Amino acid sequence: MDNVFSNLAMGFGAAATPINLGLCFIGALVGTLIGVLPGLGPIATIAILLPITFYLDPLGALIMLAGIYYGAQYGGSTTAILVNMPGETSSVVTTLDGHQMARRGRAGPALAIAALGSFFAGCVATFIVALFGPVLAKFAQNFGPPEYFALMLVGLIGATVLASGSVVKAVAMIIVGLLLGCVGSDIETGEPRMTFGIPQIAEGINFTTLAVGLFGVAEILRNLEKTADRTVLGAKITGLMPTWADIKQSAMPILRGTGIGSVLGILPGNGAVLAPYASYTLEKKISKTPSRFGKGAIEGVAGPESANNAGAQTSFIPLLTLGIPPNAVMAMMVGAMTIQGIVPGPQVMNENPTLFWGMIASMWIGNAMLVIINLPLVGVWVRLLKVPYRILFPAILMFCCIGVYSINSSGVEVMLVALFGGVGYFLLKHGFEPAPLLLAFVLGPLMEENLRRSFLIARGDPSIFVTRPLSAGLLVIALILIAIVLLPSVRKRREEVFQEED
Amino acid sequence: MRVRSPQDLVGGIALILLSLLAFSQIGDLKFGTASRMGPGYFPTVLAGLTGLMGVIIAGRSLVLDGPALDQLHWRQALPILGAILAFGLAIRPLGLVIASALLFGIAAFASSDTKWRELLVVSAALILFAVGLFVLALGLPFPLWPRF
Repeated sequence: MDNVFSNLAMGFGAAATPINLGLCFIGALVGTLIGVLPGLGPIATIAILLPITFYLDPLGALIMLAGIYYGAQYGGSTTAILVNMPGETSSVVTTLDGHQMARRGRAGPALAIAALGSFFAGCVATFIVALFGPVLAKFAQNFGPPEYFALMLVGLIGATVLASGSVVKAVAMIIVGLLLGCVGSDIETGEPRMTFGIPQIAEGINFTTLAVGLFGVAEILRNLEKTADRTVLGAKITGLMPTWADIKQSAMPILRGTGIGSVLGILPGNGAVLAPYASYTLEKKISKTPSRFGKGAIEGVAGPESANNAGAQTSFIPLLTLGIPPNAVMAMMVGAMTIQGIVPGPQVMNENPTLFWGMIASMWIGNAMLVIINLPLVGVWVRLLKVPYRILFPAILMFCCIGVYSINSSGVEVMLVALFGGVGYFLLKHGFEPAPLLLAFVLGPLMEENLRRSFLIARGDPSIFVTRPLSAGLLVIALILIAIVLLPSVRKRREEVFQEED
Repeated sequence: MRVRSPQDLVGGIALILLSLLAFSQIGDLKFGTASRMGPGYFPTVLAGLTGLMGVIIAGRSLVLDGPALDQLHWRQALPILGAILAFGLAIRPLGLVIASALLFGIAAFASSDTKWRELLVVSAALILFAVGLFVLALGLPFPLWPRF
């Protein structure tokens, strides 16, 4: 325990330098911005900004990118409450009661509770990361190739269980992602694989190019189709302060939401998206007056908003301690670390403690900044929604192109973005989710390496995966996950949950 | 035989084509054995699985009901993808300023409510901003103007 505090103190020292504070602020600000603007998600934004981080130092780069992610969770709720349009998928649930509160002239308290709940959840989750991170990292140091392979298998299967939409299609996307991960030179022999003779992909498809195409460009295309204009609620926001009754009503939902979010965030799949649903369902179920939900119940804002922020925060745990991204945004963080020459994994904490603890400390600082960015400046963000999309999309497009070009100074790389953008558009139009693909693309080469190493250690005997207790245990978890998906009752329930999303 | 889920049918066929494309590229990469996997092992298995998923999804489309095909909006998609291609082709010989101008000019056709005068002002401002941020502030080695 003492150790945690001294480590956190070191982290705060590293994170509180003027430059890092500035980067944290920029990250939180950009995160709020894209959270407010529907149609530009954290994955696309981080993809677009990834090339720029090359020019920052590792800690600064990660602080900024992390800020974008949790900042988006704050910003997303603003649009959900005021415009009845979720700025982020993680704030879909907030529209239910948040917007109803706004219609009843209680937009201020809704926004305030959302921000304060998020802040509380952020603080708790930061502490959880600090507390459990080292334990898990120590545990992971005993992992050999078979354990890593089994763990990644669990991660990928988990991602399909918790993915929205069709399970079969999610599995297909994972396989395609793994296949794309194979492109490039073989790790052992160096032979080129599936490179089509294009020199730009001789070392593999660039992560940023793929992500910008699949998410950035495809999102622009989707948004251009929707001609629906945004109607910002005209009513003035009067009085941000929630009443004492509001706070008393929200306290327990915030606590429960934080708990649910923290747990779901660690699991593979997108915790920040799933957690608010779980929290909303729970609050409605245990409420003495469930009929109030959907008509402006403050618990329906407090719980889910705390849950999504907690989930966003704790999803850093698998990345920082095991080196395994639990969702697509964390896959982007792997990309950012790789650009900086850092191999994500349990060794980061020992070899690079300032990076590890600095990042954790920055999360707390960022959360504090976000309350300030969001509450007093809410008017600015609302006005921003009035910027027409015809001005926004050329700017986004330009950042995509310049960013990708700057990685290798290669025009061909930019043209590949167009290709992947087209692919992303096709996926979107045919009900395929691109997020599992990206996750598998990152894990693919790691999985292949660990599988091949495992077989080398075992001299070709596949029983190595079941005779080592840890890997056997992980494989059992994988089997249980598969069984869960196939269970008819779970399938039905799962469909119901995601139905509400549409 | 009736197609019940057109989206799945098209998606499944696309996966099968992707699998064939991958197989054509794997060519004679050594497959190896499970204990000594060659460079072709992983790609071959995955390409096979991709094809299998394609068959399953396409086959499923004949049994399970699904949504109708979503309309592809070529009027939006072509200008955007074309604008990116143009930027990629132009950046090297013509420089950042002209490549960006091309990007804005072509992308504008994607939006139905483009106001050309506004576009001119916005483009100029964005190019100035990009030059200021990427070339002057971050010092990236971008060619600004055409080189002969």
